[in-house]
Amino acid sequence: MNTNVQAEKNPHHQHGLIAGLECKQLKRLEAMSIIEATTLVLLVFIAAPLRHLWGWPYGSKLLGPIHGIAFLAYIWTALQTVAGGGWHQREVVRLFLIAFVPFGGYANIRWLRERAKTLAEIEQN
Amino acid sequence: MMAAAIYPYLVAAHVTAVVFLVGGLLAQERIVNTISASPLEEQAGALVALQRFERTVTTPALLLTWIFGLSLALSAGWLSSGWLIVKLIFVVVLSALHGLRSGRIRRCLRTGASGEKIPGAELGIVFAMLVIAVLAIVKPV
Repeated sequence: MNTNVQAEKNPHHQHGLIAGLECKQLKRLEAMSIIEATTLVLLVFIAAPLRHLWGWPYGSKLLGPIHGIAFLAYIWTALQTVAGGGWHQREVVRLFLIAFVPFGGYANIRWLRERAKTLAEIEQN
Repeated sequence: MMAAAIYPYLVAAHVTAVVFLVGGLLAQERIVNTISASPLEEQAGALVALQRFERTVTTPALLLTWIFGLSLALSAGWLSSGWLIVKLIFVVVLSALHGLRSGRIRRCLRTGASGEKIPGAELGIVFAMLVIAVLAIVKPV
């Protein structure tokens, strides 16, 4: 009810494009999160042991730059998402720190989906 | 031989993407600064257009700038050069500014707020572009 009143007050809501804008952004962040986490896991748990234990450097030579690009893309998408507002400081710190932790990006999936679900419910009401 | 053959084409592609990115960033800042003084009802259309412009022009340009730029650096073996590291700092700042701007446009659309200025953004973009151009052409260190 309150959201409907806000929507009526929002002159930008006359454009259909706005509906679901935030949910789409969260979906993009979720996808980047999965890509970043996967490249980090492959780099740390497969390419690095292959390089240091078996002397096979090609895996890390290939995955290093790929993970670098995935990391930058994730950080950029996270910045773009939090610049949209509605995030607590603790959530912002979590979003950025998680990129440094192997498997950390996977923890984002459920969190971002719940956030998108809540947003969708608010928009529907 | 192969790398030398594609080098000028990579430079051309990189420069084209940079022109679209920096031109787009400056245009977005100018438009937001101009419309922020108008009534909210008049801002809506411009903000929607800016959001579409960001999605179809500046974000793809940013992506292509990074892809062609890193390909150039790798093919020419510049990744450990001092000038490139300094240049990358300015490129990261410009990329962050783009992310910040697109997020703020989305926030304005979602909350119905007026377009927000980013203090010093226009001057910052021009200064960063000047430093990037000098570093890329002179390659001092």
